[in-house]
Amino acid sequence: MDVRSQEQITGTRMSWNIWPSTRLDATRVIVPLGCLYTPLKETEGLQLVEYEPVICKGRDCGAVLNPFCYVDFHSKSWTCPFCHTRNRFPQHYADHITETNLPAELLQMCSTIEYIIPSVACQPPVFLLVLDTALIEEELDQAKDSLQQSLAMMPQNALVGFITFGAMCYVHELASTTLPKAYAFRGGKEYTAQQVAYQLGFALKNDPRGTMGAQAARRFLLPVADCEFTLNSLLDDLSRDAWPLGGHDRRPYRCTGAALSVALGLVEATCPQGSVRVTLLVGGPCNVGPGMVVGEELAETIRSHLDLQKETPNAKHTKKALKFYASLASRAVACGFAVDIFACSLDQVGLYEMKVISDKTGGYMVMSDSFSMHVFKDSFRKIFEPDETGYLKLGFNAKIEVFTSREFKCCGAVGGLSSLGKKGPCVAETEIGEGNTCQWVAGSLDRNTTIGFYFDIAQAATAAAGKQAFLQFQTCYLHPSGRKRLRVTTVSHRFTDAQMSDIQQGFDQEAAAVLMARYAVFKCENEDPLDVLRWVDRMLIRLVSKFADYRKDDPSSFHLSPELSIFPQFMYHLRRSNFLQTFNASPDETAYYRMLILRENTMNSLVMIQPALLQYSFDEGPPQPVLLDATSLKPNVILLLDAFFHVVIWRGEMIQAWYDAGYQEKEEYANFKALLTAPAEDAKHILADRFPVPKFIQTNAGGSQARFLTSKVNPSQTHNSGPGWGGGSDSSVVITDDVSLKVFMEHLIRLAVQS
Amino acid sequence: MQPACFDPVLVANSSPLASASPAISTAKTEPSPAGPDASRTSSLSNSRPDLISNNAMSKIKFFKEGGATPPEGSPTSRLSGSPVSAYPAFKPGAVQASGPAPPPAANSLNGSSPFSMSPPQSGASFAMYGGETPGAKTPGGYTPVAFTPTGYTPGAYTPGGQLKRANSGVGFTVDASPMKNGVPRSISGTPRKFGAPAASPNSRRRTETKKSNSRIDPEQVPRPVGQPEAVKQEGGKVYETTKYHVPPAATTVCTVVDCGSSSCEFIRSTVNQVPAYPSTANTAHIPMAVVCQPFAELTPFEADIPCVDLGESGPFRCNRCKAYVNAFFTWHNGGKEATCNFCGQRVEVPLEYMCNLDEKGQRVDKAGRPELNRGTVDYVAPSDYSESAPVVPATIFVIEATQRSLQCGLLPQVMWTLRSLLGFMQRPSSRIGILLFDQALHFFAFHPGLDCARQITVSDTEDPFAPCGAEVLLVDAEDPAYRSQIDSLLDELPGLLVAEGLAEQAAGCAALKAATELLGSRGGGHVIMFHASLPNSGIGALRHRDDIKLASEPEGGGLFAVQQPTFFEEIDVDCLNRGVAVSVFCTPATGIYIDMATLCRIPRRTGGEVCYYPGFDPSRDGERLHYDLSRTVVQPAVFNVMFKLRVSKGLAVDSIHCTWDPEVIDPSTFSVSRMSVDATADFVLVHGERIEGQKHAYVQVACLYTDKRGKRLIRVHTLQLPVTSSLSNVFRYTEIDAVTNLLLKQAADSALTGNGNFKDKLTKSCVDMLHAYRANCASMTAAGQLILPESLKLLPLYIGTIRKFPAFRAGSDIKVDDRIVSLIRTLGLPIALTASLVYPRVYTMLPLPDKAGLPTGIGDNVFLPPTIAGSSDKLATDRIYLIDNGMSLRLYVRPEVGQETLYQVFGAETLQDVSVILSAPEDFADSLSEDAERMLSCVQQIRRERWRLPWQSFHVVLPGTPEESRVLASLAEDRAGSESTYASWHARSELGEESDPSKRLEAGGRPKAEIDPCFDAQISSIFSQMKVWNLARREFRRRMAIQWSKKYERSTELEFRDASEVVNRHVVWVALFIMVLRPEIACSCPSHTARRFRV
Repeated sequence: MDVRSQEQITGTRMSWNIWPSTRLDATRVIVPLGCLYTPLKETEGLQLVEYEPVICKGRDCGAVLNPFCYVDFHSKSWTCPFCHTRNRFPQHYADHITETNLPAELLQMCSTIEYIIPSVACQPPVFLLVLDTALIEEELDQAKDSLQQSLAMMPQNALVGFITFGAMCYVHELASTTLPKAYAFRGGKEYTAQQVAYQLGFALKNDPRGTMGAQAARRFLLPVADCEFTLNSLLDDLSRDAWPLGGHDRRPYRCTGAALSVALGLVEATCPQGSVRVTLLVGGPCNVGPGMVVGEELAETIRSHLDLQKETPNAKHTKKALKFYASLASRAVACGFAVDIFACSLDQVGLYEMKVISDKTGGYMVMSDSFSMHVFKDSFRKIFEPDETGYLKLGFNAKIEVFTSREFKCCGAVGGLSSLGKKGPCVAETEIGEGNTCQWVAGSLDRNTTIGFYFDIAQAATAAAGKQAFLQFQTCYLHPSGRKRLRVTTVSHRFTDAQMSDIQQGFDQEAAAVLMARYAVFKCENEDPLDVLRWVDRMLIRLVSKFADYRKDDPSSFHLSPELSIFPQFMYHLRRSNFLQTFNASPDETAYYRMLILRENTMNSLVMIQPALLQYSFDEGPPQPVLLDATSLKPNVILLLDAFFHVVIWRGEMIQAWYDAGYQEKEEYANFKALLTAPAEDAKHILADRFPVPKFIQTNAGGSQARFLTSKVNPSQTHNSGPGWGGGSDSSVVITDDVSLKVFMEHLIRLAVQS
Repeated sequence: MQPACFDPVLVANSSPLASASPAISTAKTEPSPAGPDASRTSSLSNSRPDLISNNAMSKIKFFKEGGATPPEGSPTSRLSGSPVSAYPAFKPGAVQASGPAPPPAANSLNGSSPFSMSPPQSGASFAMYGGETPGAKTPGGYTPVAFTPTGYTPGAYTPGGQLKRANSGVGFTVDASPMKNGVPRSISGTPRKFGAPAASPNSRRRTETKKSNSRIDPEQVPRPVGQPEAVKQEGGKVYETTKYHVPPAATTVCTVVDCGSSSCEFIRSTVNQVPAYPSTANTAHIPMAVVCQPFAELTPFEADIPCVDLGESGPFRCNRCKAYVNAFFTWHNGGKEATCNFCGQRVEVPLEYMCNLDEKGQRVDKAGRPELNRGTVDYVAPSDYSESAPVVPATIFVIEATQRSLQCGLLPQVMWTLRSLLGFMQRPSSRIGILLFDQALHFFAFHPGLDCARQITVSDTEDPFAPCGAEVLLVDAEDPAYRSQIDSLLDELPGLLVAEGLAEQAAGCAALKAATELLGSRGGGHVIMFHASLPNSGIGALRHRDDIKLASEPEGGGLFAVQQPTFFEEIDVDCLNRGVAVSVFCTPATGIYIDMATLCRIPRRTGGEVCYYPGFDPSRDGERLHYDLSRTVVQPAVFNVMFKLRVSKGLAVDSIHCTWDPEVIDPSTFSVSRMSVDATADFVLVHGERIEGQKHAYVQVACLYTDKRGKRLIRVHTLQLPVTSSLSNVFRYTEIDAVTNLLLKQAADSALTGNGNFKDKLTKSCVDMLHAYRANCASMTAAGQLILPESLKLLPLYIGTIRKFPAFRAGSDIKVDDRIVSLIRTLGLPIALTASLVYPRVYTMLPLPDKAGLPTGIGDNVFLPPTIAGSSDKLATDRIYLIDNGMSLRLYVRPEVGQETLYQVFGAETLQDVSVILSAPEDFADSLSEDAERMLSCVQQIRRERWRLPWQSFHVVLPGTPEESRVLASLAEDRAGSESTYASWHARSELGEESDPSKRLEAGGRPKAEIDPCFDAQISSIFSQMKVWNLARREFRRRMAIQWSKKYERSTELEFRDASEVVNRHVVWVALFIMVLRPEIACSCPSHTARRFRV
């Protein structure tokens, strides 16, 4: 079974599909043992059952009955593959179970199964919209427009709350109809749930169940059906923040930090552990109160990477802000909320500092230049898009737990979740990402959300060779329908023999590249990016020297097996990418890119690392992928670059000349027109499927926007290469000092074969 | 005697508007229709946010049910016009009020009204007691002349000499002064009858004297009663500031023309001739003080204050003492130099201000420069006079929205009043904001183009703040974009609040903090707080601490101290720095403590108003609240004031007495956020050295302020006062209203600081003054004779009543809140209110005297009935009286008024019906008799005369109600609490003058009950002083004689010159002639003589 079809069924991708059997071996294979798991993936033939799962009674075990269990039909019992405990089937299972009459969870094809936990009802999803009003009029109108559209799309039973902020933060009461009402909170202060509840008038006095509070809170969180009109007219009437501007050399006050704390306080007090999304729409940096990232005066510029590295005065707010947002994040995590950030501004808004809150809670983060751009508008709409059954394509407040068989343990997880600190037998000593736990929480999951789990072979397990290893993921989440669901995915793989002769066949270079990328990005949080780059290089060299065929000190004898052949190329592009390079990007952008790569599934992550390039031309038939190389930039082709964040259609000089001459208008050149429209159609598909919606760029050779393409391609031809650059060649020249892939490979091989 | 004041000869036909405007328009400097002048002119027409605008009719009904509507049909509203005028005037009758008309003006014409405490003419009003009083003979033996140039007839106290002859008691003499003239000049004056229509004063007095132990005849004591004068022309009599020696009484309806010295409406001195020597001043014991009301409103007949714009160079000032140039600067050297009249410095005149001199040494451009020919001018302040650019003050109404507030009707009433006020606000000062508070603060934000305002709640009352910028919380009520929002908000709010259910807690101080911060952020304005209960939640919460034991002490027993001092300290520092003023309206339930001591602190510091309605009942107090609020909002108050008083060389400012608890820089300088038109400050002056070589002393008030249009101006008042070396002149030109005003404020100041001996001080200063007069100016009289200076004849009466003020009197019936409010009101008392507050007037209303309530033919004015002594003995049990204490008008129905009478007059079946009918006379117009209509006209007349003062409410007091006892307690001459009745008090205070030790024994032998212990002690001390004095008396007399003759020579010359300026020679001769024939004429027909004199 190849890795892709396995992914279709279980939603998992492993860096190694055959595992080294000892801890020592594990270190020798260089690339960490990891699994990319997409909990809510629409897998093929997903079985949805509405009953309680059968759980292993073993101490410290909680694994669910699965196809890998050994079932003893005579004694009506089963053995847990993780802890080897024998469990008796519950009576109603025992009564019916036979070798031919198996419950769904025991069928081999149902290694992924979803239970709808009966008799647990939870409240419908809550959307708390937090809107920045310290914007210019046009931007605010666009943001309001988007919000109004989203209202129409929200499920009618979803609760919605509305908070605006500028210099102060206002919680709007949606229940009132005669006189629009709002409660104001100071912008310079952080608020706890108690304070918010008290000030909004539903302080919880000796009310363990919080029923009183919930009742009173109905004024602020109302079903969309009830408050749509009020909220729409409120949005219609909403105008810019009415706080006087200090002058033309001042930024308008914006208390993003306080507003977030109020928003969290409101939902903390009303629906803890509910399905809650706090959606922040912000159009500028926070410059007052907690979480401020820049001062009021425009003369004070917002910090850059250089400022952060050198800790210049511009970065003086950063540490405090980071700490503040981290504390907000832990508040949200404790209650299982997701916090989304939609940042639309030409300048930075402080995503670098705020990232943690989306990152830890599994909320979205979208960055755009303006509220009027599709990147924002369509992305925002996508959150509320229903699936074919009419429910949102989301899962809320998900608790993910990992069970491993004894031979290996889990080091941690990377991507859009945070640790719940649950200790267990499957917790490894080494820590990668959110470690030291076997259970995590993510406020929100969508169908693409992918988590990278890292594993380590257990110290004691020496006799693992030849055995099967088992891995189970349990994801318990709140479905938008108001039901609690549990998805259980159980996979198994085998350990290699002591010589590791076949381990190379089990190498999944795509998954490995993504896991490496996640690991590297995660390392960047705490380490100098330059060190991380070196670490990536070192890993690559060691990997290649371990698995390639070569004679020592003879680069020409170097040969890589197909399982590893493109891995160096991925690493090459990863090194150049914005994830590890901070040059030419603001801290906000870096934060944004890094956060997204930690979220996306394998394919999308690969696109991010190494963008896909499609070529459309008359000469070479149907569109075909071409090398991401400067040589592909030919004058007579149209190229479609999908770099995940950007989709670029690039026309070669000749095509552009034709286009300028207007041939596409002429009937006899219908084929030209078709050529022009083909990439546009394809781009449309990409745009439609992806979240966040990429920025679409139409450009041509020599056009200013062509930089989006040229910065990605392998600079095989630069102004330095060849005699006299710009002369004669039919491919473009990339002006850069970066090494080309060829040079990179040469160096790599030389270092790899070195003894 | 038939007072001649009804003489209709002088009646000028008057259509108020038509006559008013031409009269002033010539004098106006900037007759722009949009300017403040226009506002004033139009104010004449009609105006007040009255209830009777048609479209508001339905609303009115609603509020009427709540009982909050000011009586629609009351004469008030009948007279009022539509709410379109630019200035909702407060005078009751809007129209003729323009001719601020008919006065109880004592001294205007030959009515020998007792109100005439300060004669406007140099001829001292003079009354003597029995023709033969020795006091009438002055040492010089000069033949006196009766000066009656403007038809003034002095009042005289008749009843005669028998008393003295009988020597049975202390006689009264109101001495005109030990004047140059040995003969009483009051021959023309008629013998006056005091008090009620007693048959024969003489006989009656005698009998009563015998009855009472006191040897003072209660009938005979001077008191301000009698027939109030009706005005003879629109705007009253005309006075020129440089012509009179004593300004017209503050209550007089008159027109003052500013001729270089400032009008008495702005600045008034206790002594209108300043003693040159410190010793004279000390001997006289009359406090030298000026009472300044720098932003007093002018009548429509008076010329507006000119506004001088000299650009950035600013006004020309003395470079040593910084005095502003005024009419009394002298010019030399062809106009290149000027001499400052304050310090005598020679100052070089800047080039741009230079002007040639004419042959008299006056600048050629004098007539064209208001600052050189007027006593009061406004300068446009150059930008370097203030640190920041001035802003137009905005107003925020901060209203309690608790259960209590709604139940007692405060909230609906305020909403309604605000709504009616909207049309009266003038741009640009019409920016308003509304803030409600219960346990949270509810702001209202207005955005252009929306249908309704947006409510923004701030619940963080521990750290309150303004949730939006001032642009949306404070909006222009006159802007159509906001008007409908404000309208509908005001309409809907009470209903909405009821629907939502109300809280009980009030975070008043948090609201105050947020509101002051909000206004402070935009550079100043006016916060108007409305409290219905003790603000007991949030930051600055106050706790209940009204302890009966403590509260009954006049000093407040610690309850005068402010709670949460640090909190309030912070706020008021902030307010003063940023030009925010705070006014407070309080409507606590009956007997409920609201801690006025604390709530008043900020208003006092910042110059806001304090309005207090204990036991607020909308049907009774609603109207007053309405007008008080309207007045507070629309009056041309000024903001961000920096005040400085300068006095000329020789004088110095000693202390200041004013409401704002002096945040003073030095005794002559203070700053305050707001000064209302009533804001009055008393400055006590002392001699720094003797005033040498100067004929005049000067006082200059300079106020830097922001007016309601947001302009930064400097108002300068310059007062010129003659200097005298004669002690008798000091007494003669003393003005009792100013003296009383000062004494009141001194007493209130020390009471507020918890100093309990203010009463003794009060008595002492009174005794000192009278004694000084007796000893130094009337020493020739017999020992048993009491002699009062004419100018101060009412002083003992006033001091006696002051001691009985709720503010000062001990007693558990006075709540500490009432006491505080009363003290604060006293502290800020404008001079025009002094007399009526101190001595409430009592008018007989039924049976109505002849002309009372009938038109005088001048404007809408009607005649008022004569007033009677304020004593319950004088009130017949079967009559109806109108009692006017300056704050309210109460129609007091005595217990034995017959059912029939009631029905005939009011159409009322029962007593209770009377108040119902009179609260809405319009509805009962059919059943009201002509008498009732006339009564209402009288009420209207009183209000009209006081149009520049706070609105006086009118209600009916029925016998047997708690109200009745309160009314009776307010009567000046009755015994109240531990204070004595007027007569006995008078007797005692006069004892200080008693020279015979045996008399003292007699006094000591009196029933103890009559004697107030502290008072007794004080009298003893006075006696001990007197004893020493007595021993030396003989010697002293001799010396006095010598001294007098010397003094006389000095003073006569001066005085005579003064006199001759105004006195017709002819009259002098006639007076001489009369002097010879005095007894005959005095007894025969004085009124005829009076007329002859006038010719």
